[in-house]
Amino acid sequence: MSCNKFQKWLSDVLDREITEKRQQLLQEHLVKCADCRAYKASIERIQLESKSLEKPKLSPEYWQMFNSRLKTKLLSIEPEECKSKPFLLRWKWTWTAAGSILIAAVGLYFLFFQPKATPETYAFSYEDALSQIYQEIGNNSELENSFNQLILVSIQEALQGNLPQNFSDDPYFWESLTEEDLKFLESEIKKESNL
Amino acid sequence: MTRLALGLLSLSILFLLASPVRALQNRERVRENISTLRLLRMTQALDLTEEQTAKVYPVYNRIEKDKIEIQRRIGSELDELRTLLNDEASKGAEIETRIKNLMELRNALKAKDDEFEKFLESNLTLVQRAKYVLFSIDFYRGLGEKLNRARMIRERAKRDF
Repeated sequence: MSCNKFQKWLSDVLDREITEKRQQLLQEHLVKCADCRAYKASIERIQLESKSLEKPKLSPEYWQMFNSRLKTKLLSIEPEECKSKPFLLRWKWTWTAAGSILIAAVGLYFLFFQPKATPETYAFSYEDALSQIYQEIGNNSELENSFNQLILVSIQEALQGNLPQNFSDDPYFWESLTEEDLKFLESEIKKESNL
Repeated sequence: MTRLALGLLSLSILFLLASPVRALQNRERVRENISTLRLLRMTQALDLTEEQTAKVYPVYNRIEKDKIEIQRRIGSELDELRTLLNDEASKGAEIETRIKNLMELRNALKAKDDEFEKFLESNLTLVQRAKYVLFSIDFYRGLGEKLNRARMIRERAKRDF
């Protein structure tokens, strides 16, 4: 909460128009805030000094004249000026309204102007699906072989109902080996086979 | 999956492997593998009974073989059409015939798919038919995902070597 708010509450304290809860919050804030403590001291001093001022003695004619002056002044003010500010134009409501309008505008933008997500394409024909796959593979025989390997693994999975039991059947295993790994494997196999 | 289903499936695979298909080009081999996978997954997804499996597998295999033959002819016709187009002396009537043949083959391919689906319609329950529609979509999407994985494998292999 800002110091401005607490300083307004300090004025309310002097006017004895503050709730207990605010009073408590104010006390807690004053412990921490030197500026507000200084402000409190200054308004208390002003109030004290104002009490010590002598009241001016005004004649009854002055008050009679005062009333008539006041009436004249009020009548001279245009009716529009007499009205208080419209409800929505009070500053805090103005900000609230502006925020709401902004949120609504952003919402409308996303609703109407954002490009729609590309709809998922559903293929219903087996031949169409295959054609698409073949087109994407093109003449890339390496890609075709890798794809075929994955299909074979899936067949094995479907037949066994689980993952391939033999790691060497997994194309990922072979794909992850480097040239050195393969040479090492080859030499080990040769050793074992006594070649 | 029941014993009968497994038995029929093994027979189907053996039949495919033992057939002259082994000598086919790479693409046809891939096609056959996809076809086998489709049949397996379909059996699981639709929860086919023994009786249904006994009916579906032979029809499926026959239709797939017919389709492979049609595809082969399409490939041959396309080669002919390319040759004709590159040859300035080729006659319009020949080109016309090739185009006509290709259109007929394309329709024949589609007719085979329709034949299989009509067969399923008369042999599956309503729930199984609904499952088949959803299975098909998932399966075709799965193929695309496998292709993407294959691409990643190739890219990784290229990067490593």
